[in-house]
Amino acid sequence: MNLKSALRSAAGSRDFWLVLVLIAVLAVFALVNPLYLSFNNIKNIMFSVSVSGVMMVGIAALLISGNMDLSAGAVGCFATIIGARLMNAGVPWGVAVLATVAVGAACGFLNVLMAYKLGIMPFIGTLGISFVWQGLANQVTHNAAVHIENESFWKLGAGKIFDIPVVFIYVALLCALYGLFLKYTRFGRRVYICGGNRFAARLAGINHEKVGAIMMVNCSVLSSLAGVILASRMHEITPTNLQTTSTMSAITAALLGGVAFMGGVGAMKGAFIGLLLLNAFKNGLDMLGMDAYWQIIANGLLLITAIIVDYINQRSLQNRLNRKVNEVNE
Amino acid sequence: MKGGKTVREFFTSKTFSLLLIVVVLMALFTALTDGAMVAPLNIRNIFKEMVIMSFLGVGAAILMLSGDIDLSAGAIGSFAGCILALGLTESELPSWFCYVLALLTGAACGLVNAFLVNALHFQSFIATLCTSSVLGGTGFMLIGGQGLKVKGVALLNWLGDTKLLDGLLPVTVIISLAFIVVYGVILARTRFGRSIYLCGGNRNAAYLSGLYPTRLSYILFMNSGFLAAISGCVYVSQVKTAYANSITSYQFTGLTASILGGVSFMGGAGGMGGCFLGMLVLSVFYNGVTTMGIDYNYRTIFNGLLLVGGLSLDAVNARRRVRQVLKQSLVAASPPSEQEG
Repeated sequence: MNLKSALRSAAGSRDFWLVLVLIAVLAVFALVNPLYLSFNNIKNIMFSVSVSGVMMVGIAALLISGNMDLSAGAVGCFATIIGARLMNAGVPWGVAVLATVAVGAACGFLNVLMAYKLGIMPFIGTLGISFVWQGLANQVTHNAAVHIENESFWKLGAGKIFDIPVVFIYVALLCALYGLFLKYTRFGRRVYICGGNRFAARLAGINHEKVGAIMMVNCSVLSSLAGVILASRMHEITPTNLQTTSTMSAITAALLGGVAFMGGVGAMKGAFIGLLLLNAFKNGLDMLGMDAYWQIIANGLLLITAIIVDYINQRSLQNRLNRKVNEVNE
Repeated sequence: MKGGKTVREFFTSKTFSLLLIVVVLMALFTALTDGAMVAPLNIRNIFKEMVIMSFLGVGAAILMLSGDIDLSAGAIGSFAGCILALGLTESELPSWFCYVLALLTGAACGLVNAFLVNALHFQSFIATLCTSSVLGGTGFMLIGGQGLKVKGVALLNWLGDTKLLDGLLPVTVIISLAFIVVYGVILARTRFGRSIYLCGGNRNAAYLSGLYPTRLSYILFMNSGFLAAISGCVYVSQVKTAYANSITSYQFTGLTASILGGVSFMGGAGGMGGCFLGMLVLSVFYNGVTTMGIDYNYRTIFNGLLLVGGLSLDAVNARRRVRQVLKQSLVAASPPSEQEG
């Protein structure tokens, strides 16, 4: 009886199916190309997971709170370019990283002002402001990569623990931390209620603007950290790094992992599996010798699929609720 | 009294402030470039700059009036351009048929967007972001990163290069102005045009008063795709090369222009005249910046700032409208003795 109900609840959970899909994806690509599961390639996947993952944590938390930020990638790139410039000017890397985070936070604060003081819908406002950051990044660097000459900064992303890249461990820890925070703290639960029903949140005495503002700044800070990780690994930052495509894939990963686009639903656990799935899939396409455009197409198709699944889930939930209400009424 | 009121209305209207911006920008750039800005050839260039963004802007404006947004217009247009170039170079089809094919492709992509939004209940901006990445990738797959050159096609050269009046009036400019006028008339003077406003303002009220918002949404998404395809074809005709992302950046200029021109982002307000002036502001600025030889990156920055500026004006206006309506309904609800004065 216990085993049966456990199985049933597992089969009903989205995470279970996601893991199955992930295993299937890994198996199919490994069958086609045995090198896919070689340790070197797994390390590649782990690295791509770590850059988009830091951004995804911020975006997933923001989506759960019912907001949106399309400028995350552009902010991360711009902030990191400033940090890189500072490092090249002789500033110690710790200070430069702090400055990067501060720039990210300031950009996030600007998003907050636009959303709550000017009343612009977040997704179009952040889209507009992302052009400003993108243009500034291009202008500051004259459209060229900024090479970072700072060996201790390089070590930040190069370390390994038991042969696992340390950046991957950062991301796993970050996901766990945010997951616990969202699930077990009072503020975390407020994030859910603000995303699920703003009006109810207000009636419960929660200031949803404050919660949204914190999540927005948090998202920009995490995207600038994603830029820092990328730069420390590549030893340079390019103005085309981390732009809209990275924002899109971070959103895709979160939605694949069951974060509801309209807010209020989702967990870091699922989002992390979604992240693994997306990156395993993209890397697999790469290994098959598919060109980069396949990744772009795949990203779009995956996002569409994730939203359709989300929609079907929501509807079945609604149906179940309706049935329950009817039963109670009878 | 009434005349005075309309004069005052004009001077406080968005049209007037936009005209003022155009004049100030023109004067500024004329002074900065020693008069090169107002040379006839440069005036032509200003309008030529407007051509590609105008189709995208018109499509975006009408869709926004109905309360939706299409972020895939640039990708659809570029993709249609790729189809056109492929048809002209790789197949034996007559060139006019290739144009028709490209335009139909655009409309079909719009249909997919409409399906995602209406049948599967996606938010329009996320649905169109998805299709834009799919189409952009497919375009790259079809023609590669270098672009596809199209040479020696009579119709293409005619559309892209013909200029009337001693080279001062390109055919493409005439076509784009004609489209703006036609769409302006449809919006302001026909029953169909007004139904768009109603659907954008209040979808339920529109449905209850006998309109079909879903059908309208399908029409407008397809229209947006169709117009995007036109701008893609015009780009290919002018540049003689198709790229997978040829007009992606124009999409946001189109969007910015219509928001600047007072098309409300929430739907239900704005018109073609403002949209046209918004485009004029942008193309005057772009042209001035180019004439002065300022770096292209400032264009991107300025575009973003203008988009945010236009949006905040839009948000402030929307709040003011709500307050006005509230005040009016309060007045209507209060006893008649207080209504005077």
